[in-house]
Amino acid sequence: MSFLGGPECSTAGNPLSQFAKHTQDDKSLQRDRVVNGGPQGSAGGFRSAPNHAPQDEMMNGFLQQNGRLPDMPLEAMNPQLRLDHPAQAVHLRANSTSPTWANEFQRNPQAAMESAFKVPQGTHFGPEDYAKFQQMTQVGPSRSSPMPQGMAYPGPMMGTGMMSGMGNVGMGYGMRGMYGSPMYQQPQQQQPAAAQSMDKGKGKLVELDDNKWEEQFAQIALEDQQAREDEQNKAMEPELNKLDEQILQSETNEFGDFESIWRGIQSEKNAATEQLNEDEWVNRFNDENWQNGFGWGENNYRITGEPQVENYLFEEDNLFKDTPNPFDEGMRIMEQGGNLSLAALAFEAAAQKDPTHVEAWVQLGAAQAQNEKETAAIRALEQAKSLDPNNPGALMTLAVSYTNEGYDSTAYRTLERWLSVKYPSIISPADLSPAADLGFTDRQQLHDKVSNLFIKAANLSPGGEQMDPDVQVGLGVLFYGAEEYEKAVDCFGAALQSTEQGASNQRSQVHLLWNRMGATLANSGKSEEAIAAYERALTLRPNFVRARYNLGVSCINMGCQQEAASHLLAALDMHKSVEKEGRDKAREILGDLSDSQLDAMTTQNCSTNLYDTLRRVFMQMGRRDLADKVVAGVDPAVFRGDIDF
Amino acid sequence: MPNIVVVGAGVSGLTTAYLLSKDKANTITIVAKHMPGDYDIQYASPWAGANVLPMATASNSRWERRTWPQLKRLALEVPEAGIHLQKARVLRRTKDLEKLKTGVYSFDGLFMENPWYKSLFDDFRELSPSELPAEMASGCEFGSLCINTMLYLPWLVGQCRANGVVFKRGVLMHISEAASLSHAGVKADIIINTTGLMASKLGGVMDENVVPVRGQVVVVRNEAPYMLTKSGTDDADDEVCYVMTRANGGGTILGGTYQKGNWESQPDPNQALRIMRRVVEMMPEITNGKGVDGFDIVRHGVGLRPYRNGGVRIEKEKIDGTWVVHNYGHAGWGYQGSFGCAEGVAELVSEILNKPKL
Repeated sequence: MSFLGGPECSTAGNPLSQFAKHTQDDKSLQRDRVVNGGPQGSAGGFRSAPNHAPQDEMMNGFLQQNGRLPDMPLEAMNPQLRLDHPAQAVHLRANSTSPTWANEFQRNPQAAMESAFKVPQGTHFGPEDYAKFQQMTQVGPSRSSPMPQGMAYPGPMMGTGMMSGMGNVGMGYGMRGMYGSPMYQQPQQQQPAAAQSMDKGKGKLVELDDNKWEEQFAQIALEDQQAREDEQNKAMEPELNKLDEQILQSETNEFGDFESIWRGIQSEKNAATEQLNEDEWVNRFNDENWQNGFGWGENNYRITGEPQVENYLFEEDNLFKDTPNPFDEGMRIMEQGGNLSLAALAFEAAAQKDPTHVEAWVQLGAAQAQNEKETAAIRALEQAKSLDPNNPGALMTLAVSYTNEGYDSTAYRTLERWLSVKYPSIISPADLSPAADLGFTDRQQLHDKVSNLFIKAANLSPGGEQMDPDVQVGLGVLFYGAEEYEKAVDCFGAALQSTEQGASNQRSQVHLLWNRMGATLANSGKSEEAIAAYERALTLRPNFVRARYNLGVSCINMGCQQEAASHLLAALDMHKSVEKEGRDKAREILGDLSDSQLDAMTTQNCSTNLYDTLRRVFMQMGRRDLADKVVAGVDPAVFRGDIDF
Repeated sequence: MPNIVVVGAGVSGLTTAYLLSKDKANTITIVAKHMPGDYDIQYASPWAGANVLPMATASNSRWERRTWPQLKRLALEVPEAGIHLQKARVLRRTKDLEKLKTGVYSFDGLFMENPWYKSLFDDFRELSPSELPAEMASGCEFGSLCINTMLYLPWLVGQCRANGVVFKRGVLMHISEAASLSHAGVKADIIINTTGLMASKLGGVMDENVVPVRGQVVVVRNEAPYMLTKSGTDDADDEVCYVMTRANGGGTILGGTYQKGNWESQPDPNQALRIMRRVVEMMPEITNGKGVDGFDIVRHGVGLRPYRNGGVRIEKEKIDGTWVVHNYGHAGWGYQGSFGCAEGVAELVSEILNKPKL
């Protein structure tokens, strides 16, 4: 039998004939082990089985096709291999089989000796071995360390037989594989070249005049700074260009909302980079995201740090377009707890009539948020904010929406700004945290900073009638974002207390507080209490779509899928009923139109969240048929046969 | 539109992605170092048999219990999935009975007398004494199935593709990197961790409970008339004996070894010979009485089963601000628990996505 591989005419009668073929292929483990440059950088158990390297040597040696084993008599490997019990393998190896093996070993002990590590004879895997290994296995260049390849292969280095079992093999021969940690480290390739441009341009000798040295020094420092900035600007260019490319590419995907590009933000960004001061530069360079290129570093926020917000999409053919004062209509509907989609339409009309009407945008955003149309809400509120960056209503509602959507750092910054408007003594608008892509730890720090500010504000009026419920709400939102739900519950509770006793315009917000309380309870696993809170909200405002959605979610968590579906469908029905009413009106005005034509008119902003959740409920109920029917704009009535609502 | 990134393309990752992709709202990206078609020691799935021989204890039987009907349906209705029905015989040696009672092996559930899984197979029966070889105390037979992994894994890829899943090659240092690897270009909502053995090395996970259980096999052209395994061997405690013929010309797998903590990637010729001898002893008809010499060998192989002390990990965890759902540590039952575990993941995904709104 030939262990040297090569083409086999017949594999029958040759139990180990295919051995060479397999084992020559997959050396990945050894490669990884030897080079230790793989992603799993640490010396781990994965590579620490020390006994095996010598065997691999042997195995490789024997399997080498180019016949570099002249001293290895073939007769030694005959088909009648003794089937040794694994535990005895070593013993047998030592004494029996081919004596030439042992000779080989004796003849070449020096390789065993030459080792940086003091290991017993024959146990190491030194540089020469690696060189040989490389030669034999022709490891690809990308994996190889630059090791000298001087030695010709003299034969197997370690004496134990390759036939031996895995576990104990080295022991008998005195081979105690010692090296737990691999000896070859590939240079870490992550340290960016960019870091070097941080060099502060030392080594510039200048003569300083005795009198004017301060001036000169300042001048030099300025020049240095300028040079540095220019350098850093240049270094930034490719990164920015790449960023632009990435943004352009994602432009074509099918997802709207935050995934699409707001060109205004882009040009703003370009302008802003030119004005960045040194601190910003330092921050950016220290931020791993910038240093390591796209895709590396913790939580790449390059694309998703700040939400990309599109312009608000108005419904076509608004019922209220000819109403003289749609804003007042909208306010009336809200105060009376009417249908939120209707209220939204009224505010849309108001905003379309006068796009500078900040309050119209604010109310539109608030209505859509309660209507469980978060994206629309955010767009409207951002519009309000662009008209009036310090509008407290817009800021608070935006902070809540961003928290819901997972844009934590944006939410925190928005709350900070809100505080600077209402409590400039605690934080001045000039001291606001800069907008920047934040890694995970930086977000924590920002969160803690803003929370402390809010606590300071809360302490200004510790209790009773003076307590500012909005501060409590802000604090509650902050705790909610950090998953400190107990504290959040306390805050919302305090806000509830003071609001219920407060002025009437505050009382109109109570249902919001009950919903927030419920959401917080739900997140801390208190489903039943959450449901009670939602029901309080719904009692005050039966048309509160968001609360009804939340109720559905709590039902899912309690395993009541059927009931959950019922709540979700009821919520969708509230959207649809206005659409239907609008449809009738539209028919009056525009004449006979097909349902699909009307559908196109009334589904600009639909609640993907409601649809997605409903679909998931149906899947969990095992009703794939129902799940497939859930598409954006579907009429809930379609499901009446299966679900009561 | 929930955005999900699955890390790892073994049977667990592919099945999980497949299941999640049935909900059209989900945007799914699979990122993996190895993909079907690769043979690598870090990528266990191709090396598996694979078949259904339930090995869980009754209390942990959920995963295998839920998977069996799915695989059976594929065997019956989807020939291109590369699965065929095969009878299985499980023999219990007299000398192992005591050990089995004390729970020495991790695949003990398989050799239990009066096992929980007998209700899964309507043709389950205990073998009569005349059907038992000398050293066997008892044994059972039931209609099971055998999976040709080299056809099944690509089939799963195809099913994922049909549902819009995108595949990307990638190597991660830290699990949180997956958050930025969604093909949609936005941060992922959920990361699914199906990294198997590599969960012990992946930043952010570093699960020390995960260890390899080395399995050496011989792949031959000979065919076995049915699948056969016995509760132990005389050669060593960590050497086992099983045989199964894969569907659609996938060859016959002769096994094997069950060496916990052993990372060796290269087949051991001695072990190979012992494996072949054991199978031929247990099933002489496989080489028509010619003994070991009658084997027509395709190749030898070694796979490292991703074993986890404490059992499989299916749970959700927030790591560096992103939700991660773990699904790793399936040891030697990855295929036969794949659908059940994927369902468990889907439940956790729903829990994460169904969040209340402030």
